[in-house]
Amino acid sequence: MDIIIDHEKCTAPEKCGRCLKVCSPQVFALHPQEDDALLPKRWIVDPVWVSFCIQCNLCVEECPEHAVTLVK
Amino acid sequence: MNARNYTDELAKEIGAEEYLTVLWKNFERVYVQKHFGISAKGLKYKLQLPIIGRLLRWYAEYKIHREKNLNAKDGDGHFGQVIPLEEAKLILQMAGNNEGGIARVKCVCKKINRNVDEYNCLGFGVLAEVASKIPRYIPETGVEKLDVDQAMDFVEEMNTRGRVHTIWFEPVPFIGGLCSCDYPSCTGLRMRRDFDLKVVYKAEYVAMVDYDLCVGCKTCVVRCQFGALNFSDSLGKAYISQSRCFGCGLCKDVCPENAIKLVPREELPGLKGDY
Repeated sequence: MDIIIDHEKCTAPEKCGRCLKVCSPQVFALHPQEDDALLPKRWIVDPVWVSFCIQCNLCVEECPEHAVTLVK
Repeated sequence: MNARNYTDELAKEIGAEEYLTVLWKNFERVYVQKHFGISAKGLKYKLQLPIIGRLLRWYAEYKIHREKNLNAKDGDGHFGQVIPLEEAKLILQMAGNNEGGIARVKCVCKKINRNVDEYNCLGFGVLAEVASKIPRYIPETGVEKLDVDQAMDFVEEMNTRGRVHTIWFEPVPFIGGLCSCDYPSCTGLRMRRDFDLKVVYKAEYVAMVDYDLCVGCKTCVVRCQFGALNFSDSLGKAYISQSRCFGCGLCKDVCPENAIKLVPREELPGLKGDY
């Protein structure tokens, strides 16, 4: 089981971040890429705690950009 | 409680300023930082692996509690403890006398876990100075410095809202921060509750219900963040599981009958040393 986020489509953290809030087991987290820790606008959302996922599909349904896919 | 752990002198002695500058600049990368090619992604699964899991747990604990040769990028030596409101106030009195004072900065955990901008972490002394220099931690209006009284009102308000108070080594043995956390948005509480990694220690106390005073009003039930408190219908009173209790005292603070007491952990032989 895996969650894949299309970072090209994802508008978080500036415009969105719904997945971070709707996820009950809090699977997602924002984090900086290699060297841009000082620029929060360029941070990306990643499913960090995938092992907690209960496959409720909420993140997929709630994403306005359809950037999240759940692979079973 | 050792007053020296809050002083600027100690911070200087252990080079806390350099450590904190690196740590706070890279804080949000702690989750995805790789150690020997392994990051914290999917940690639950990794810790369950037969031999590798054990090694990983040992290595993680070793990194968290390390006291020398700290690698600031990984957050070595940055761990904390739950404290009740009374102790939080005592600490604020001590720490407020430092040169750097107390600054209210953005909570890293809530930002990365829920994308919420919340200014509820109090940094003391050196940390107040370091964090004030990093733009993403301070409000757009500028650094918010609190005096001791304001800070005390602030923790009290957080307590009413149901936040657990925690103090943090930044790095061990200098205590530089007082946070108001909730599970699971707080990275420390999440690590402790979900992975049993001792990033956050339990408080020096446990809560006990006085069954003669408890009237079963259930006010306290919503306050527990640790799954230690529930309403026992058969007794008609609140029930606290002391083995789960972290001793934060949130339940005690709302009890209208003063039926919940905090008992020092060390006085109970069965719980002695269980942090």
